[in-house]
Amino acid sequence: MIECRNLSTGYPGALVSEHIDLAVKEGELVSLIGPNGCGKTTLLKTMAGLLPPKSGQVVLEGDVVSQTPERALARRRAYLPQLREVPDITVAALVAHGRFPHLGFSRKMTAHDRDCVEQAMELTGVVRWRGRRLKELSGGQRQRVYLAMSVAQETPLLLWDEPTTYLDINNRLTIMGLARKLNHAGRTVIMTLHDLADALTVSDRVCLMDADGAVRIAAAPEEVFGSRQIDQVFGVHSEQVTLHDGTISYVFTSKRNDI
Amino acid sequence: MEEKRRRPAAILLILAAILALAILLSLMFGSTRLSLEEVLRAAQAGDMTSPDLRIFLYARLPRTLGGILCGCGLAVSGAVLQVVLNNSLAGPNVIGVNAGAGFASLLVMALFPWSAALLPAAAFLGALACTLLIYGVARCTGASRMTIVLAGVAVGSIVNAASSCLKILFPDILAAYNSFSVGTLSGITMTEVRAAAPYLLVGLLAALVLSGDMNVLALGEETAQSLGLKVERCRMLLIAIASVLAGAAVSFAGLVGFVGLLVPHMARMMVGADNRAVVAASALLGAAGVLLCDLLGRTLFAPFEIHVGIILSLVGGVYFVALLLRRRGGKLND
Repeated sequence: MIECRNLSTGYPGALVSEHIDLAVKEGELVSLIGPNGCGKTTLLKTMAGLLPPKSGQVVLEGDVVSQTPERALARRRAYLPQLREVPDITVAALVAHGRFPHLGFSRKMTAHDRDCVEQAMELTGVVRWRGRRLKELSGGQRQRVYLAMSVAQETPLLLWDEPTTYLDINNRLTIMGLARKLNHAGRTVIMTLHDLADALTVSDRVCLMDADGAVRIAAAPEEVFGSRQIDQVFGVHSEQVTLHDGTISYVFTSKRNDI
Repeated sequence: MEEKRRRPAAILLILAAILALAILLSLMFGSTRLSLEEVLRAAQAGDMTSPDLRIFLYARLPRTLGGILCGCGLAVSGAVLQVVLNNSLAGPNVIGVNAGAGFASLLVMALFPWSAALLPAAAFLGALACTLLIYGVARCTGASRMTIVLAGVAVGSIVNAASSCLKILFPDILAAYNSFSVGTLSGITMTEVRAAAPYLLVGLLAALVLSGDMNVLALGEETAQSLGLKVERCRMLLIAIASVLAGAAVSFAGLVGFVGLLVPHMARMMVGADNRAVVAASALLGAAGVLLCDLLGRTLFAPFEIHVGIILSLVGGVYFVALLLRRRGGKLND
């Protein structure tokens, strides 16, 4: 689906990651994890085509992302940034913006566009807030509205940057469930996460980056856990636990006693 | 309070009616009252000796058309800039329109004191050049909306310093510059209006066409870009439109203040955040506001005339104080 080939990326005057090779197959749900400031967001932005690569390339279904026109790109991948504006518009109006890349010059919505907006709102459970203004909603509710917008974009690939940061546990789990649901419905999902337990339980594959911006390992959660690389990169001790209903989860404890 | 439904179409209709009324009043009233029947009769008879018809054709009509264009141009320019810079207190002066137009017209007054005809073109080009300069400086540092504002402050300060130098070196120009710097519609001619009109009409149309994209731009740079909007091109285009609109308005009316800041703000409170409605409402409200303030200025102390810029500063100032007091009461409108 999307592939980073010997990709080096960063901002003007600052190289963040070098020589990244990462291929995500169609229908996969992949989490990018790594310590603060390691370059997860930078990598995701480069994959989305919002940031030009320093060298190497990102290939989306055979096309080089940095050479694909913005509009065409926006019909094939949706990207949800970490920091979002809270414009003074209604929920339905924001979700409708997801159709922007599909609209013609007159910017008029067709019946199909409206259907997509409705479906996206239903899928993400935001229909009941449709007439409310974004500013009246809580952080978790807003987050779901933004996710609805990216769903309405009707792209096979979803790139979400920290969709659960700052959210309470209930909202976090709702959004993880949503990621799974969309993934089952055929969308490829790549997201950055800070919660390692979420990443290890929800993903098909976990891509672990270290503080230098290199990809340490990109594999199935079991394998990533088994490699003990998480312990090294984050300086923690990780443990797998089996809950009473048989599902597997993970707990992390500090290795150091220096605080 | 938040649940009250805004019906932009109905509000636009009301604003259009207010504008129509303002046009009628502006044509009829002034230092003398015109009888529209007499004007119509003289026009049909081709009687150019009729004083009413002459006042109508050479004073009221250009003044009213000038007021409409000036109000539309400044208000829409402000509406566009407030979105581009994501700042509800931005106005055309942020992108150097006032500084550039002021400097260029001072320069013309100093170097070619005999040719007042050059003034509108100079003001227009000065505004445009100053905007380009600010955008150029901002672009070197990434042209984010913050750097545009900062570059505006920096370049504006330099240009204003140059203007102050000119005023000291050429003290004779101060009297003429004074009415330009306040902004006035008095003595406006059809030639000036005709020269500025195409720029204003094209700018207005372009702003209306791009108002849908402005909505996407308002979602923030990254979101807009991820939705397929060419953010930098769109932003540059909108700044150019804002500069042309405000520059053309300033070219014949002088540095009329407050319209570009105030009117879009009021428009947003009336019709909501959808920029398609905000642009249209700003155009109507801006035109009506300038016409009514000008009417007030020329009738309040007739035969003395208060420049429209002074009335607008007064009205604008009062509006702002009212806004601040309401905020203190905890009723945040935006």
